[in-house]
Amino acid sequence: MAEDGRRTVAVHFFYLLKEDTESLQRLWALLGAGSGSPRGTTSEGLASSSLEPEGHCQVVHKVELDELDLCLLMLADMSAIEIVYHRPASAPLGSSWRQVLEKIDETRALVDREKAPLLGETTVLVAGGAREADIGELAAAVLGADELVREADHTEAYTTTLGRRVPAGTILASELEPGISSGGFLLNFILPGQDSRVTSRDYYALATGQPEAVIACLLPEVDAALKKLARVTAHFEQERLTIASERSVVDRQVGAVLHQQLITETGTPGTGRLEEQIASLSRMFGVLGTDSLLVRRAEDQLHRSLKTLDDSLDQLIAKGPGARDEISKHYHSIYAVELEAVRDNLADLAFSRQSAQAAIEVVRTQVELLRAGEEAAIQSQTKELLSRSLLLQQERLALQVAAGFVEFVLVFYYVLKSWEGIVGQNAVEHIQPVLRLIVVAAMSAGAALGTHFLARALHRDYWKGRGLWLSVALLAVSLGAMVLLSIGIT
Amino acid sequence: MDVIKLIEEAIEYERQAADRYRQGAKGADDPETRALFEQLVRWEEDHERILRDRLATLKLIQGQQ
Repeated sequence: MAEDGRRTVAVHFFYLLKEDTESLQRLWALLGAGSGSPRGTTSEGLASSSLEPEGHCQVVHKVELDELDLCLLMLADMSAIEIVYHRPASAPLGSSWRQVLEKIDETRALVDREKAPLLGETTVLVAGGAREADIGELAAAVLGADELVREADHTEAYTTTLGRRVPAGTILASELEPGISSGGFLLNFILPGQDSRVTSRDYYALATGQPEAVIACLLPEVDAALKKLARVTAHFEQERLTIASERSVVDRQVGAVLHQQLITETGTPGTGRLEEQIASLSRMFGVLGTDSLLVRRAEDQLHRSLKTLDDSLDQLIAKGPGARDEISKHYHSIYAVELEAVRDNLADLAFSRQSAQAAIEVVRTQVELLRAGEEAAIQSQTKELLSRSLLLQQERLALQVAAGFVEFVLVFYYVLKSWEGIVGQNAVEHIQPVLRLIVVAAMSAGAALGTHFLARALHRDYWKGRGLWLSVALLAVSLGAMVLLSIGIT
Repeated sequence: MDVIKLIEEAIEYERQAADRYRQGAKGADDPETRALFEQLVRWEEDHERILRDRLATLKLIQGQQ
């Protein structure tokens, strides 16, 4: 309670991205000017250093006006401008709330015109130490949602439907931690048609004799954690939808590949076609790997965001046996379902990855079998070619021997006749037959072998072979012998 | 490329496109064409809003890492 006879009647928070200091300064100046600040709450009034506090929630700037206070809060991930509305202590609560809600709507319209990049808004209706049931009904009526149902009244419906539920209108009530404001209640209104996960404006009612500690930091921390969780969840939900659609495409393609393998089992698909399938399956496997990574990251982020929410709720809400805490229970159940859905996605992706891997193995095995068959056929053909080549070589050798023999006989005959022609037949006949045979045979052999080795030297362009030179030497020696024998006769 | 930078560029493209359509609406001779351009401006502004929202969420997520 304010010391000057004023009571805090409502609080409105505008949340922005913490690093967006430019928008924050602009909005601060706009709200200051719109509130008729006597001192002028311009952006110059905000030192840049004050916008970068360390640690958790801090009130880095505060301007007190006649009917309201403007506070600038720095939270873990967000910054918030908090407008605290006051009323005379004697004014009735219901009419004060209605008046303040009108003022809040005017301020919101002003902010909307500026297109400030807000992360969300929250309105908190504040009562003194009134009973929770009384302010719940009154606040619901003021918010134009008389039909709101207490969470406790439809617990059974909630537990049976479980899962994701968009309530038709619910009031969640939790007891405040006794140590922070001598106890009290915090009510969270989920208006009809409002998705309790994704919302741009939230409503609370606070019933406590000392609301300052709660509205200064404890409530904005919980609220910011919930807003962040809602955004993160919505973001990952979109991502998971894309991933689920990718997974279903991959599953269909993997199924098609495996089906094709079955129906073409009797045919012979080429290895090229199968390798294309392996490449395609590998790409799909890669896509699923990346998707798994993204979903794992989502799981990690959700887990951490839930931990942050738990930490902030622990400071605000009473715990222990007998303490009523519908707010924590409600949001926990919703985000537990989200977390479970993410984990299910991970399991589905793992299954799809296994299927893709199995398909790759199947196609790869088929390629290997096909290649083994092709190699066996090539080996058989090579063997046949080698056998034919061997046969040809044998036939060529036989022909060479025959040709060499014919050449020898012919050369023998012509050498003998040529010798007789040169030195005379009678003269040659005086030479011993054996000697004559040796000389003529040596010359014929030299000529036949020389031809063979000369052809080989010409073919290989190699002139240092021993065979060639031995043949030449044999020719030379036999010619020399013929000359010497002819001289000896004459 | 950094996804945040990419979205920031996309926002800039959306803004430029909206500006072009706004110019088109100004220069339109008949009401039908003007209405079409104004509709396109609204589309681009809507795209920009969606991208800004996604950008803010990504920055929140990155801030947590």
